[in-house]
Amino acid sequence: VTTQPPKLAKWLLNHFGCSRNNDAVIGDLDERFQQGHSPAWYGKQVLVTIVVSIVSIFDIRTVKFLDVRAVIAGWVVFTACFHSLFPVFGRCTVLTAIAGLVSGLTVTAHSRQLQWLSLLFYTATMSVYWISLGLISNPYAPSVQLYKWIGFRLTRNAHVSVETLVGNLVVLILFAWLGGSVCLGSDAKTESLEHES
Amino acid sequence: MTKREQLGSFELMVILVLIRLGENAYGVPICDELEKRTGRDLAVGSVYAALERLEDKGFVTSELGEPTPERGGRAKKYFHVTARGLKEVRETQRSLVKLWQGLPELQGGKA
Repeated sequence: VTTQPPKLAKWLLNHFGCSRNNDAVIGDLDERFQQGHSPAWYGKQVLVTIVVSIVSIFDIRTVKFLDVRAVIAGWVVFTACFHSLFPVFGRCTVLTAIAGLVSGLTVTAHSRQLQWLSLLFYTATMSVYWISLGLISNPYAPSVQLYKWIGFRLTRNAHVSVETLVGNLVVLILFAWLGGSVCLGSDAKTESLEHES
Repeated sequence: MTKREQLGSFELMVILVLIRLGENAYGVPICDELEKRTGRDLAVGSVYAALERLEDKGFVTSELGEPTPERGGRAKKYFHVTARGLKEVRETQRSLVKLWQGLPELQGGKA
């Protein structure tokens, strides 16, 4: 007889459950599983819990858990990093990777709760910005002057191919999450350490 | 007129179970009692979503309990109904009773 809950389901809930009581939910599910529920029951509970917790994020009362301060800090660090290193590296993937890594780390380090949500929001806003810049940086677009005004230093060589744009965006997001993963889950670790002590 | 936080129907069920359970109200007995009383299978996540809403409205408070081995070392979270929550339940009950009165379709248990 299996006494351990399904590992994959538990891992999913651990990483994607965004209820502020996620730890208690996992504990309750484990306890009920020990009472004789099946692995299928556990899997179904995990799926419903993840969906419900994600939906509840969009509830106006829980929007406060989206750490806007952390996202702004990520943007400030990204802009500072990109512009200060641009003269050294020029327009290259290394620059995007460094800026992504440092800004991602900043977002999760500044986020007090739901770090992955802050990181997701940060990379989403960054993607919109990046794509918008790329679209309006088309040399044939009449809005190129506006782009130069908005993007200032980023725009000095505005002739960017779609491949470069998308490639750099992928690198930026990957490195932002890589940087962010350093701090991801640190809340849970702190909490479990507190329990242990 | 100030806006009053109100109880949804599922929230009302949850808060009634909390009153019934008293000091031992944490996730597992809350779900067991709700399933027993309503005859429905419930997701623990949905119950917690309702508990969180109740907490945000100030009708419920929570405190961390002791971690146990069968919970993988995780602590229980106990929920208690506040005075404000009790008052709201009484007001909801009064409103529902008033709405119920004089409806012959709902008398006698026939659909």
